[in-house]
Amino acid sequence: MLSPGEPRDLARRPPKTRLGLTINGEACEVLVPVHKTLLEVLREDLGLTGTKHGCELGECGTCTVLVDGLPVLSCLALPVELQGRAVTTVEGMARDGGLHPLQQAFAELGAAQCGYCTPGILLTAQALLDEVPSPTRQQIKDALAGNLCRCTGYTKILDAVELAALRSGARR
Amino acid sequence: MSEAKHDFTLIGRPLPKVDAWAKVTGETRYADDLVLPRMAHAKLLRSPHPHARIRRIDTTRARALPGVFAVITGEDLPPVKFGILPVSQDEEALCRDKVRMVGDAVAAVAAVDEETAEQATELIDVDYEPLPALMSIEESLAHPEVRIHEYGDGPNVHKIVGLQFGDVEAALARADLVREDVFFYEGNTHLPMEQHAAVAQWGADGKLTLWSSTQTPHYVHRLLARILDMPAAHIRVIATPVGGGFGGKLDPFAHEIAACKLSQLTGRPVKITLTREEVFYVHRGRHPVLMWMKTGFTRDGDITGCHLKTWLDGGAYGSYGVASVFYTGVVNPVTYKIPAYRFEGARIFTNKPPCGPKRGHGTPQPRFALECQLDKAAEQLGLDPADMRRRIVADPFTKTANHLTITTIGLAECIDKVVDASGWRSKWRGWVALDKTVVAPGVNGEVWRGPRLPPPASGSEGPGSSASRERGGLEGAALAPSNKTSSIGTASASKRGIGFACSAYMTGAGTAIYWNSMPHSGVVLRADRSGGVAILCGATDIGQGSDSILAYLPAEILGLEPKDVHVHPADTTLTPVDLGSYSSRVTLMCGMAAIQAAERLKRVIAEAVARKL
Repeated sequence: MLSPGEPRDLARRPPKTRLGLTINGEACEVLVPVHKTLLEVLREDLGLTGTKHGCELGECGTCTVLVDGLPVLSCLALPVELQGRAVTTVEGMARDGGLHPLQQAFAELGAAQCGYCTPGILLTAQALLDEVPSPTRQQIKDALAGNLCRCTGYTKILDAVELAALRSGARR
Repeated sequence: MSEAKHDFTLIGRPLPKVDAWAKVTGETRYADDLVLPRMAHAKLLRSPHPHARIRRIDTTRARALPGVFAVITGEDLPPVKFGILPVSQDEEALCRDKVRMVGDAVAAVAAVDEETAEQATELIDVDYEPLPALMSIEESLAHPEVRIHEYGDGPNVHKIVGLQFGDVEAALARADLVREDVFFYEGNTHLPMEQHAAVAQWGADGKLTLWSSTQTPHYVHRLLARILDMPAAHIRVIATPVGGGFGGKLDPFAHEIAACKLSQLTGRPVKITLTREEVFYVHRGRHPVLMWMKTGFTRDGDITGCHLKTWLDGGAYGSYGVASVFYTGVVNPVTYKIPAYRFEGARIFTNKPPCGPKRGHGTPQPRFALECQLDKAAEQLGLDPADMRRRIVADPFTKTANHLTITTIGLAECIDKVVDASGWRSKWRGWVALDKTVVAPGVNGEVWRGPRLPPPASGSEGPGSSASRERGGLEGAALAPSNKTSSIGTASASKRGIGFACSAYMTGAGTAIYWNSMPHSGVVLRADRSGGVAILCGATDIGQGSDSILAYLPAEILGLEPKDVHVHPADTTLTPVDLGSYSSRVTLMCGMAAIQAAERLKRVIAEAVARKL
């Protein structure tokens, strides 16, 4: 039943490439097969499991991360194309020991239910607020149109983004 | 009411959930986020056939692939069939003789990584003998010579239920209007954002730990003992935070069982995560249901009696189906006064992924039928559909015809508020002649082309019989569910409308899956020298906030902040049993246990302090 513990035949495995990535402001180096997606590299090679896989087809937005500040579906992105660019995951949102205003608002308003879609939504919302600091409700809806929340907590999610924008505006 | 609120310091206040901080930072560890040293990755080989006999499985080539640690088939597991309900033990983790749906698992591989495991599954040679596939209620009933299972209440009939309360025939005879309609509710699936995942670790001491994204660690624990033929005391099931359940993670699954066996054979922790495609095979979603409903009304809109028949497309296995078919009948009478009620239901096997419990288990389908029929009756009687419902709302502190207890109800007040807040009085402008080619294809004289259904229980007329087709007068005509010439969808740009419907579900799940008289939920509450309190409970947080409830309630009673209460959930070795996160039962059951424990702890502390003083 159990196969003998044969050593892995490395010659038959796809070749690996050395990649230099900047993740959450830190320079990282990984050795991975070139066909590995950014989602896989983040979760499996860099231990950044905050980024979740949902559909793995680019439909649900669950795996969203930021590349140079813009939302990207990490299940469809190849890290080999992202060398030298800045990748932000949910682990990189909190700064200087404090939560990002979006994280704070999501926690306070109950905008995370099962929490599985939350990292992708937080990052998409961060990209929105970075570009439009005081978005209208409709602008928030449009920005988050590609992120599914199966618990259907959309109202609280929209409220939380509004609250975070309000607080950030007050601070400015 | 408002005065009572002031008695609480925490309850009734919008508080952050206790797990909110972990969830907004990516800290929460779901099953697929777990990584253990030396961990292997597993994949299942699934059937490409909807119905086939397995002649032979050859795993030689897969085992020879470098990086493969173990390959198993059904022969490597104890010959035990299982199922979540004791009456439907019809599943195998890895099918031995026959597959009953596309996606049935037949073999499993553990390998150095996911990709190697997947490659290995492609090297497993399975010799199938395809059998005729039955893909609908109609086909399964029309072909009794093809048997999906060898058990049940008839050929391809999993379960038949019949209930009667009061003299329905007499009730219909005294009605001013009797409507007889046929409805079909298409099925759907839960689609949690998190795919099912599990990690199994079989220790050298012969004890097994399984981390799984499950809503029911207790049931998985019990069933694993039977399926793996080992003492339950040697198995520990830990439910990780669940990334959405909705009923789709309530059964024990092939991937969990395969991971356990593979861990035993490889001496490594084994992780398995389903792909999105596999989640659709696992399914257990909402049953497609064909419904025939005959209801009598007075001129004022009172219901005199109702007769409901349901046929459920159950898919390939039993799962919770016996409960599902029961639920399609029992919950309809709780919103409105229905003095006489008769229900007949049948669940049919088909060669599709099995259906099961999904939010509101078994009730949205007949509710859809009832509410549509109420509107049809209201139209014929010239009644306002909101007023009609308001008039027939069940009274508080009564029993329904089928003996369900209604305590407070509040539905009348709810209807009043919705009527006001929705602008119903100005928006709903009375019944107007509808363009039936758009709204309801098949209504006028369309002949019912559905199945000739088995006579469930007491065998009276059904939609396939001539009796129902030939009735005329005030009774409604049949509505064909699968009318290919339907013009729905070709209607021009979207339009807005307003409609009225009510629904209800029960709270608490009064019966355990396996009947027993033990508590449905328990907690251990432990105060320590730090001033903190730990609460241990088998409940699983699936996003509904059960961890938070378990913190709020003791905090309220003991005068603590929720942060002072450490919640340790869903670990069958450490936490008292809770039956699981389903049927809106957790806040009621675990909540009551937490309240009782906190009250006792408070008394113990008060007595100790009193002695000291």
